[in-house]
Amino acid sequence: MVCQHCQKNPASFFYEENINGAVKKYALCPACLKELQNSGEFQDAVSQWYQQSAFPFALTDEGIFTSLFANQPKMMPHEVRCDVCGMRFSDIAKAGRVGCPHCYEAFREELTPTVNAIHGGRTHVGKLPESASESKKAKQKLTQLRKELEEAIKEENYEKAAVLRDQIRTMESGGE
Amino acid sequence: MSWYDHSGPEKDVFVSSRVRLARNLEDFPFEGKLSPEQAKEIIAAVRDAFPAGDAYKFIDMSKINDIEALSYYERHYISREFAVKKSPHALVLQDQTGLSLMICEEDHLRIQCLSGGLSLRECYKTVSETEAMLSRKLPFAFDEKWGYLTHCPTNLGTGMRVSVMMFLPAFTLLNRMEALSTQLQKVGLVIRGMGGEGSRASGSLYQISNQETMGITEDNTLRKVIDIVRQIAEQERKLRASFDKPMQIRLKDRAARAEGVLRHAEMVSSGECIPLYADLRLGLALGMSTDMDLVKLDKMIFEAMPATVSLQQSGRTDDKLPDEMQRDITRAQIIRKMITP
Repeated sequence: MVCQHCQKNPASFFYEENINGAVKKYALCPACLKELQNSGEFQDAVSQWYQQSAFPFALTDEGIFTSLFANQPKMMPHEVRCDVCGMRFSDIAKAGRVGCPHCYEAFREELTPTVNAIHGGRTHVGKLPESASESKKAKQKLTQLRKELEEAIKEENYEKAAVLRDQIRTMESGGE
Repeated sequence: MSWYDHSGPEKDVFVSSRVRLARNLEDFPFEGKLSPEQAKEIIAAVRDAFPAGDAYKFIDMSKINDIEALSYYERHYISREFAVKKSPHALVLQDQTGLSLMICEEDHLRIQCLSGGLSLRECYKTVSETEAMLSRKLPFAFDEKWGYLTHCPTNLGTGMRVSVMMFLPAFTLLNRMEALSTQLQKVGLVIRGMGGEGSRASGSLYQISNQETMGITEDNTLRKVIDIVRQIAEQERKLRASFDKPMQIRLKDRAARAEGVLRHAEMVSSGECIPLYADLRLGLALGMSTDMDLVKLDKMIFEAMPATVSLQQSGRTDDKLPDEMQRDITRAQIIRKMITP
């Protein structure tokens, strides 16, 4: 990816900020980064360039997944990691593959354009696994119970809370 | 007995069929993030999910040597990556159904079935039943929107790849492969030449498979692939029948010569083996009179490959001969035994 300021050198600094929902992304070469930091007009200037050339997802080479990430930033200092395998989205972009099944949930938003590009925006219509649908239901139930527990505590309904807590414990330990 | 010892429908055009499902266990990371200990845990869990007894053969890939592993690859049981992989991985086989299940390949499980001729539905039945049996014991990673979660996002959805190996000498000789490839791409199928570039070297063998795995059911994928490859087979048969008399004689002559070499040569190299196979196979399709059958002939492309030949060779190596020469001698012996009634 080319530096968005000089349009010449390869960008090695990638930064994304989110202030009250206003997201700004930067991709700069070291020289331009320094120049902009010194000039004091860092934020506005960079965000302007960003808007002119967003990070596009492009299907350049059909079926080749990694190329979909060709324009993705290589490093973002603040990036979140998948809490199961520790992969960052930039690691996934580089490898062309996710680190664990949970990455699909952790980076759903980031992965959606790529998955849509590969699969034409369609969703699964094939068969469902018995085990997965059951464990999914269990997870949903657990989330529901935790919510109820929170409310019960808030309402100071400790009798109800105790029942809920026991139910949650039983489910967590694998029982019904 | 190996999967390719059984015949199947429409052998004149279809060498073999294969269906595979990619599945992963919810609580384990994918290859790359998977520790050797975790890989072993997966292998043990999958093994436990199979019924006890000897209906299935378990092979710990770390306990067999590279040549044996490559031989499984040459006989299409496993992928090349799986054959040369270093971290723990295992294979489950069931020869009478053609089931071959790779544990800790790119995905935790690659459940596949191989079978002769055009037999995709039979293959699917085997993999589907195996998958259902395993899914009762193993929690497969699944997402309502994206289906079965796989290491590579290209396999999301059904995780199903359906493919046939087709013998298309008429398409090849008449230079129709490029047009076919373009047509197939438009309908979401992919075609790849087997065994190298160039029409002669490839043996006119092609693998055709589906690309879509999302937004289409397993059944519709099967239906679509079967429908299209049947049409290709019809065209291939028509093209074969359209060869004029001189062409027919030339092709039959080539086939008879190939048969002569394969039946009588003292040495056969791996490079000449496939073109000779293709010449002879076309001769049979054109009605050449011979006592050979297609199952035995097809067996050649699986068992006359380098690693598989090397395995046969061990124990009877003549120390005075160079390795390669000895291998070509062994190959000639294997082929002779295979195709002589």
